[in-house]
Amino acid sequence: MGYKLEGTLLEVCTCNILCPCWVGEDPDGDGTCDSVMAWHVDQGTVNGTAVSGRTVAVVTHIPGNVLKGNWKVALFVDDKASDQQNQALLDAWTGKLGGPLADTASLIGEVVAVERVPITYELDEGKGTLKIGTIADAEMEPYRGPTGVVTTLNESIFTTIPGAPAWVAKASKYVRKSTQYGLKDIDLKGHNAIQGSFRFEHN
Amino acid sequence: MPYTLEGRLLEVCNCNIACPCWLGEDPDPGFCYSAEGYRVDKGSIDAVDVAGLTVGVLSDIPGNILAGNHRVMLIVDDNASREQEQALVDLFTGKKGGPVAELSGLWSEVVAIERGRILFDVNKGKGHLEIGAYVEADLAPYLGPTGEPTAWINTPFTTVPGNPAYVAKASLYRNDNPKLGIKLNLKDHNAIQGDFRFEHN
Repeated sequence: MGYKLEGTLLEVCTCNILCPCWVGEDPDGDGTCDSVMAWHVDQGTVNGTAVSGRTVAVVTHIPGNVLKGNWKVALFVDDKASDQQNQALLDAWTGKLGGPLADTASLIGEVVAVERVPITYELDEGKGTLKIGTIADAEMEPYRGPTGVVTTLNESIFTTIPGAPAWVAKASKYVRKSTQYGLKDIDLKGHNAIQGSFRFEHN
Repeated sequence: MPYTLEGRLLEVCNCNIACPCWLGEDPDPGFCYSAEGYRVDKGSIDAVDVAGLTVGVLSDIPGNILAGNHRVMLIVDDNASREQEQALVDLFTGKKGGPVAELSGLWSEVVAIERGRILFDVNKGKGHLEIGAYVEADLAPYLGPTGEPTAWINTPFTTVPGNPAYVAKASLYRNDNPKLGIKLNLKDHNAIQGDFRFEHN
């Protein structure tokens, strides 16, 4: 039982470039962070249920340092998930199955909504689009070195795959319509977006 | 002829962690008071060997780094012979052309050029920097879960594609420079150590 999941995650937020949370520092700006995070499972199972291709997302307000918790969260599962997949993903991401995802879930202070919505996760090396229903819409483009190779952040504290890069990007668009969840609306250009890889395992 | 230089570069400034200038973005406070040390590990300028010497560049950058208008002061390692000093000053003031001239092309004013004692004891984002009596910094890198230093790779300004720029935090950054009108005594601000390869024929 338990889970074994591999994929990529995207975080887009109100921080400037580069989001200090990725090295464990406080968010820049006013010290809080209004972010959207999405985990796209490329390959994996939860309690024996295959969930490859599915995406889980959170729309969140983080009141201070990311590790201090108290996140206010609306949780979304992509509507292509079967009922069984939906339940498996919710059990994993809300911490019921323990392990590293429970560590992340322990940072959540309040879950204000859990919904199934269409999710578009079309991202590769920091380039692409993320849409969560009609709630969030972001487009981003990575920074590049002089030879055209994408700029990466390696060995950051939260990496779950040592040596795997996180792609450092800028969101040309980050729109969030979330006041219905008590989470403020956002409409920003030119702020932080980072895509990384994850591997979560727990038996 | 002109130059081939390889070495380490350290930048300490008043930006928050992970100075946005490294990606071509505006400095966090909107301006940047930075201290940079260029330590030549290997190389020569017009056949003058300058290995082991360090040049300090103290800058007042009024906005986006690429918008220029930097007011700077150059400090040349006092271990340099007169010939080495002249070669390094010619290089950093752009007289030798090439990539280093692109850097000095961003400067509007060189307020002073001095010789000074420089301590550049920095490796993988960890260590100590002193530039004359003006600047002192202590820094340590962020670390990943296995203890490896956190690094940026392939940033827009890298001169050695694929090599890491270590993302660090300066527990101390003192910059006291009346000539540039800078007086800072900061804790826990940005420090980044990369490397450089400058070549021009």
